[in-house]
Amino acid sequence: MLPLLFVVIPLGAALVIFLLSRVWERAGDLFANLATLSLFVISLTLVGPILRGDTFAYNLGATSPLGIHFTIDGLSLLMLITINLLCFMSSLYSVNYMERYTAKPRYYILLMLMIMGMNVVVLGADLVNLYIGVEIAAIACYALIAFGVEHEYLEASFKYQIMGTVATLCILLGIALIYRTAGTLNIVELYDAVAAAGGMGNPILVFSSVLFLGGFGLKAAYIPFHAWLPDAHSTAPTPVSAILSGVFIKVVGLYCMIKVFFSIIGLTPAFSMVLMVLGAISIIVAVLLALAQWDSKRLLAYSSIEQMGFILLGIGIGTPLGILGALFHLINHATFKSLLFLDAGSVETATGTRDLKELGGLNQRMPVTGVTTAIASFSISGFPPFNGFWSKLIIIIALVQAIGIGYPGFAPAYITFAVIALVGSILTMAVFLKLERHIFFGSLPEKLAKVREVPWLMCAPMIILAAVCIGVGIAFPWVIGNLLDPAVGVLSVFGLGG
Amino acid sequence: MIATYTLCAILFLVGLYGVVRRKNLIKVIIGIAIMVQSVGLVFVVLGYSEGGVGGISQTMGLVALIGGLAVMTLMIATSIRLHQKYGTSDISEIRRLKG
Repeated sequence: MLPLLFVVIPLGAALVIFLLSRVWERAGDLFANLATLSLFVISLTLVGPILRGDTFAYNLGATSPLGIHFTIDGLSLLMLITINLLCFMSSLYSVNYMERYTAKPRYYILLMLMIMGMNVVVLGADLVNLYIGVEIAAIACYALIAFGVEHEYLEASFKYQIMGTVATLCILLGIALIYRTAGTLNIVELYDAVAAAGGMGNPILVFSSVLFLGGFGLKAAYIPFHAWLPDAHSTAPTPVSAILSGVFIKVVGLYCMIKVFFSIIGLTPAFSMVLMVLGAISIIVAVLLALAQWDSKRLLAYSSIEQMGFILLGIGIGTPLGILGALFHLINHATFKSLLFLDAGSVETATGTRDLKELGGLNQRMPVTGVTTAIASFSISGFPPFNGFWSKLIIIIALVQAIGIGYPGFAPAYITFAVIALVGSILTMAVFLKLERHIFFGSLPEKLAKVREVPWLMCAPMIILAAVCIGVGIAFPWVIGNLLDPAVGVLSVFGLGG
Repeated sequence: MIATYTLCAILFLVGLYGVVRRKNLIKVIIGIAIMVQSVGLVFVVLGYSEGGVGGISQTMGLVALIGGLAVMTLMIATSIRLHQKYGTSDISEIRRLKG
């Protein structure tokens, strides 16, 4: 029953908000936060059982291929905790932030549907559920991006609708081809069925994996496929941007990609190389593009592409240490990038602008926002002891270690990628120095002299996320032992040396 | 059998051409519609080749069509709003976001 709760609670909350909002305007504030909080608490209670080696499974309907299968293992639990923590923070932030838009209950309904879609992706044990989850989350997300119904919102949303639909159609075609060849869609059965059908010797399977790479690559916004991300993430309402950059692109893009390339097809040298090259290109190109931005949320959006590059680089190595670094960076990026988006939203709320050239000296006027942004900037630039330092360090160590134990003949590539990762982290520091310098330091412009700190309900999620950044950084052995090791165990059997 | 798959591939590419090359909002959406139908057709062919009604391909075909329908409804609604705001259906003139 337990896995079903992650679908039923947000869906039920959406219904309750829809019904009650007609008689009570603030029903959304209460029920959305209750739902996300309870989801987060439920996901935390599962840490102990998963660590003991239990798995949770639930079959809705028949056990035939037509039933709906949900499972929770170490990897999906890690994603569930991340999703539901960030969604709780965002819905808490929305209470005051979304006052500027009309039809707030509808916003909460769409948000609940998006959370439900992401949970279905993570829980789903076959490709049909995966696809349905991706589609639900994506449709809710298109509507949320367009929520402001002004020129920019509509344009960004339409761009993403076109690209996202082409991506989901590629994924669907890939699923059709894999079903034709292997005869099943259950992820556990697919691994053997794909191997029996000839694996990468079978041209149809090669074609379907290329379709998956394109489809999920578009969803995860790696560099040749990134055109929609800066528009969508910078124009969406801030709590939605935080969810989009923090978990959405990871769940519907990266997590699905990992599922397909590890648990279904199995990592081959060719895919390992493709993933690492995509990651390295994303790191270098996106960080340079981020440096050139003067809109704070746009800068953060480009920086998201760069950090996703780090995660893909780690996953592509395929060694247990590489996967550990990638998954660790995934949860770290989720916390500090959402925090940065919430901070940018607070600055926008207080001053009415996102243009870095018009801001400055806000540290005196907005202490909470200033301090939390500084913590997040330290984390993302990789200063010890903040959490971003450890995960980047693990990824670089894994690259160096792979020279010895990785695929033979890849040694020059591993060295190149390690250098790119180092250069990328240094350039990240430059990006965030620019952000800090132009928003929080320097002289305070005349017209900002009366700026005041945002309400406490917007400060609270920022403080909690900053505490998570520091806490995970200091207690990283505990996080690795209790949360990450079970997740790495799920993947490393399919990776290099498994 | 090969002929039907070729038809699906041609339809998919025709749709993709419409999405990539056309400048009119509505024509782009029609391109998407053609792509959705081509994927639906793939599932129809899959179900047929199993010798009878295939459970999964039937489900997936329906899911593909319903998903496509939902997305297209949203797209058409967005395109109406876009036309109201920008006063044009030409994609190359709807360009406020850049950088």
